[in-house]
Amino acid sequence: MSRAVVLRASGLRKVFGGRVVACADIDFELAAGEVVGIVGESGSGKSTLLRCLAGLAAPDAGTVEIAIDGGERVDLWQLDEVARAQALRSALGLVHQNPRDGLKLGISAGGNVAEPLMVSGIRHYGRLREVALDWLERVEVPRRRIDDLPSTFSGGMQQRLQIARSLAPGPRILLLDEPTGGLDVSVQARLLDLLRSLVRELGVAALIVTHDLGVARLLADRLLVMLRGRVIEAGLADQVLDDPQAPYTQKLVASMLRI
Amino acid sequence: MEPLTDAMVCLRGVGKSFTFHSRGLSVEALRGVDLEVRRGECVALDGPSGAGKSTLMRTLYGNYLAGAGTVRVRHGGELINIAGADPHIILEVRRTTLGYISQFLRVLPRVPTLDIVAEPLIAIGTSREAARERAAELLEKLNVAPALWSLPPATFSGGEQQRVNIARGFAVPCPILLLDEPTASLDAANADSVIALIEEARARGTAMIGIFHDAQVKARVATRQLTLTRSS
Ligand SMILES: Nc1ncnc2c1ncn2[C@@H]1O[C@H](COP(=O)(O)OP(=O)(O)O)[C@@H](O)[C@H]1O
Ligand SMILES: Nc1ncnc2c1ncn2[C@@H]1O[C@H](COP(=O)(O)OP(=O)(O)O)[C@@H](O)[C@H]1O
Ligand SMILES: [Mg+2]
Ligand SMILES: [Mg+2]
Repeated sequence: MSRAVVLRASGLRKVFGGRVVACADIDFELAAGEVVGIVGESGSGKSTLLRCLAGLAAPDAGTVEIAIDGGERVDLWQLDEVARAQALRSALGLVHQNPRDGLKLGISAGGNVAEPLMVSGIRHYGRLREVALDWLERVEVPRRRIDDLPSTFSGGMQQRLQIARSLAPGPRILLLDEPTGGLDVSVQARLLDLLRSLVRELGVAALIVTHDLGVARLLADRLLVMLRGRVIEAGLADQVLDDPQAPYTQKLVASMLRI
Repeated sequence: MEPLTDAMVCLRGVGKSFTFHSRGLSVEALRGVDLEVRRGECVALDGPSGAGKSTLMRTLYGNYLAGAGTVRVRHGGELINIAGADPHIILEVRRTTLGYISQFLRVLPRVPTLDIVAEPLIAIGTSREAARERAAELLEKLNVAPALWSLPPATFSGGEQQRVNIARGFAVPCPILLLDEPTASLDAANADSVIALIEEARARGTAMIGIFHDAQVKARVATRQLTLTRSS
């Protein structure tokens, strides 16, 4: 019944400029294959939290443990830079809100998918191209676009390409920072449906930041609600949305009408 | 009092209040509810609107947090208290043991009807093919036209959506089933096919708790009744 924990944050804290407490006392676990949503108003520390988990920002206190290949967990911020980069490469993928932050704009769509695979050891050109084509198909980017630059893609397609790039190395953890943020509603629906089926098929554990409670209900098994850098409520996603306990969560849910 | 050894559901002293922080207000929806349901029983919840019927179902499903008491369901061989259980455990209980058919279908964009119905089976490891076969069988029983199976139900009529919802709810043969007005938006012929599914499940030993707005439907499927009164 108890599934393996693939990520654990304990006592996580991040302060900017000595006074802005972006994250404080954050404790949570992500189990293999589950989808956890993070909701909360702008400035509540959601992106900072993801950056600490993804190795992009060093926390001021606390630990981030992630499960690596053998299932063994390592303390991310105790590793030296090289070891940390290596642990992250195969274990964790990050999808930025803005696809331009997660893609290499100067290389082709196929190159964007293949590059992280090359770093992890696959060298054979034909094999790389095959894998890239397969991923483009999975994220519904036409195969014929493999040699095109991502800058020629629509926003929705860029985001799908970013997802392919982050999933191609086969991570067990995927972090997503408002992946549908800048997209039209109709394009969002397609992306969500795609994410939902990919995450299930691959059994990857996902932590998804969203300001859209409808998205949270659709995708997440559990929810964390953040306010001023802290997790103020956590629970089963439908329970948090239908029977919110904290005053702030009640306000947040009430402001979204029917979801 | 210890639960009966063959109880599938055992509620003891269940209470629930809703606190509205912004208005400094609290509403008591349930107080001291006791209920035991055995295999093959179908208990109809009765009482006026606002008596807490839906709240009781949702508390049983883990969708609302119980404020007091224990909410135990038999999962595998064990009685598990849903009140205060870890979310992972509640999700597992829901997958295989505890089914819930709500009044409305939550439609997922782009997912075809057949897959919506097959999904809960696939989630417990049934092969895609077998899951789709079972889904087709249920949709057929519920008179959902095959031409609709490959379409997402977003544009379907209320009655069609409700029948898709019911098919999905019956896909996994859960030993405990919660039904919140399952025939509410259906005409007599379609209500009949839902009743047939409920009777079939009961004959199999499924323990059921239901809210039935229609007295005739209730008389046909319920084996007994629990009357709730407004607590406040
Ligand atoms: N690099 C930074 N330098 C200084 N302050 C920052 C930095 N990144 C974030 N912050 C501040 O930390 C707080 C949390 O920001 P952020 O994590 O981006 O919140 P969210 O993603 O929930 O909108 C905000 O007050 C923000 O201004
Ligand atoms: N999610 C909720 N948030 C706040 N109050 C609720 C919620 N659900 C039900 N209630 C309240 O609980 C009481 C019982 O409602 P309900 O269980 O829907 O009754 P019934 O199904 O018997 O008509 C009502 O006062 C209702 O307003
Ligand atoms: Mg942010
Ligand atoms: Mg009701």
